[in-house]
Amino acid sequence: MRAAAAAPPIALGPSLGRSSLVLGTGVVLLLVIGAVGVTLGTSGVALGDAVAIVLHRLLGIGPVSWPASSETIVWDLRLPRVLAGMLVGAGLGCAGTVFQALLRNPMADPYIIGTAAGASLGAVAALLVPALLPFAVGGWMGLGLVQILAFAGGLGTVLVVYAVARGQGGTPVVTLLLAGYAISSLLAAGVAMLMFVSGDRLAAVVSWLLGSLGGASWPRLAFAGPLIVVSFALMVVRWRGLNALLLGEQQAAYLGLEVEREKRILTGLAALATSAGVAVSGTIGFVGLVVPHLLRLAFGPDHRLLLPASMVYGAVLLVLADLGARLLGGIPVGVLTALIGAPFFLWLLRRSLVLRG
Amino acid sequence: MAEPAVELIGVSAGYPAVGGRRRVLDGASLRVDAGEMIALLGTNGSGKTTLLRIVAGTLRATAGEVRLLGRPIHEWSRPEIARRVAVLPQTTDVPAGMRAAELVALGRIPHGRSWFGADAGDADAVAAALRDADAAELADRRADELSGGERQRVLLAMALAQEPRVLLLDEPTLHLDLAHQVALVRMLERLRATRPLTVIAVLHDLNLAAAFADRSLLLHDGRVVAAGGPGSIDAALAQRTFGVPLAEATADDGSRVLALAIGNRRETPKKNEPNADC
Repeated sequence: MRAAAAAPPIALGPSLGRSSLVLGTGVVLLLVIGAVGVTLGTSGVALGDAVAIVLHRLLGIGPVSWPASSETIVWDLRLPRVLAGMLVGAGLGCAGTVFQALLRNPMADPYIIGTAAGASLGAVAALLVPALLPFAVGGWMGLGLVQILAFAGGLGTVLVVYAVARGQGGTPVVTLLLAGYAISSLLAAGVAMLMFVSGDRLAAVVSWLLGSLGGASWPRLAFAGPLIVVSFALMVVRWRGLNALLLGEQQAAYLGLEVEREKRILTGLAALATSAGVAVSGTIGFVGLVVPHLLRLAFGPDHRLLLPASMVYGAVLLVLADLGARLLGGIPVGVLTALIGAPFFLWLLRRSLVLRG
Repeated sequence: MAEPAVELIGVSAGYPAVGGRRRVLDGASLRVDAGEMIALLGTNGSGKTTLLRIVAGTLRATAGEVRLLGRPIHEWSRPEIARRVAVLPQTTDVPAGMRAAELVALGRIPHGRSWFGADAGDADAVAAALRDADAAELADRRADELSGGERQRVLLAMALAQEPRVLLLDEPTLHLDLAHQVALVRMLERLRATRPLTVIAVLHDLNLAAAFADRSLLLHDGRVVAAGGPGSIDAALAQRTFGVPLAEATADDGSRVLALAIGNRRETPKKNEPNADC
């Protein structure tokens, strides 16, 4: 018997309507929270003024009817901070999704194979020994030595981990995870040693390690923004490979994927997005672990929807957490992401257990 | 004479191991013509899965020549092979939260042309694959909640969605009860009637192999030995290879079958006597 022509079409993936709804809702949420983030703070700026300031700076329109201090607060402090939250959250969200798909490990997050440890060592070294390096004084393109070494440390560590784990027949995931763990431990020992000898710089070191968006500035955004956006675009066009890897590496190869090449490229892109974000914000935990998991539970594992959604909702979570952190008197944002994310995540885990019976 | 679909000439292959390579295939040669149905037999570790990987191009031969549809296999790219050869492996991870139709649609990955999503050709191929694998009614079920037999049909549909010329099945009857084993073999026969398929299936059941295959091939010591044409397996050869006594018998319908001739060694325990095994 032939399939009847009247049979309803079979959905082969996330529908366009559903995807638009999920992503559209996220973007609206992001804009609303972003607007609130620019407006709210210890010194209030009216929403109308904030919008007018942004329009004036971007397009040069409208009469100036606000105090100069408002312009400094909105344009030089809050807007870069909100945008940095969006960028870093988006980068961590999609890098977490890619690492979870590549490593097929529920504990995988953007930091799992060494980015965090490498970036931390780079940043802490830069915080403690700037005087030894002559070019550190002026920085480079508005970036301080901290950002440069954090970025280089994060990306470089992943390259080293990958090289160590690479064998004759490819790079087994388990070896990659173990090599990442071992090298991260080694670098963490370095960080601990530097903290031990840091003296009065300890507070700066701890503050960086806890993660903060307080250091956001336009030059730093100009550095991290393109890296994160480009690596996201290159990850999302590889959705077929990521979906094939859901079936395991052997089956992905049967579906025509050059598995080892694809793993190298995707690891590189995810490490790039993570390192660029970490260079701006320090190591903010939990966003890259929890966002992909939540979205996978809610919308399924297809990366056509999962990747863009983890980018948008990663941004939403981090901007929201940063807003909360600011309003709560400047507690570290990484503390708040865990405080919001962990209970919500646990609730969802329990719910999925109940649904599964 | 029919075109060869798969040719192996003196192929050796193996895996990296401590102190060099562990060689699994050692000068294996075979020729499978287009449209043939082949049963591949052999003891555990004799290289059956390795041979399938060689034909699917995911493992490179260390010596010898492999030809797919008349061309050396290394001249095909990976997606080109995947549009011509599909594999149903022994085990596959089934991702959580995916519906069966979405899983089958993954079989369209090697054909992917559009930037995003699937085109009409993909939808037709998935619908036809689900129908041909008797899985149409499973399309909207969650793939991770299917029974073993249902899941096997959905995974077969995924392989068919690749629209392959060569279908490789690695112990497709594993974990299936007798009725499902026979149903699967019948389905493969139907598939061959409607699709231009060459089938190579690893089987353990000699009678099932004899019943369904045009030819049975036996892998022994990394080489291929012919073991029989349709309806029969060389009993003496099979006995030597597997190292167990086999007896030939004639079934009610007149076909010859092989049975394991190890007898019933255990005597029926007499009543009121303690069982010696306890």
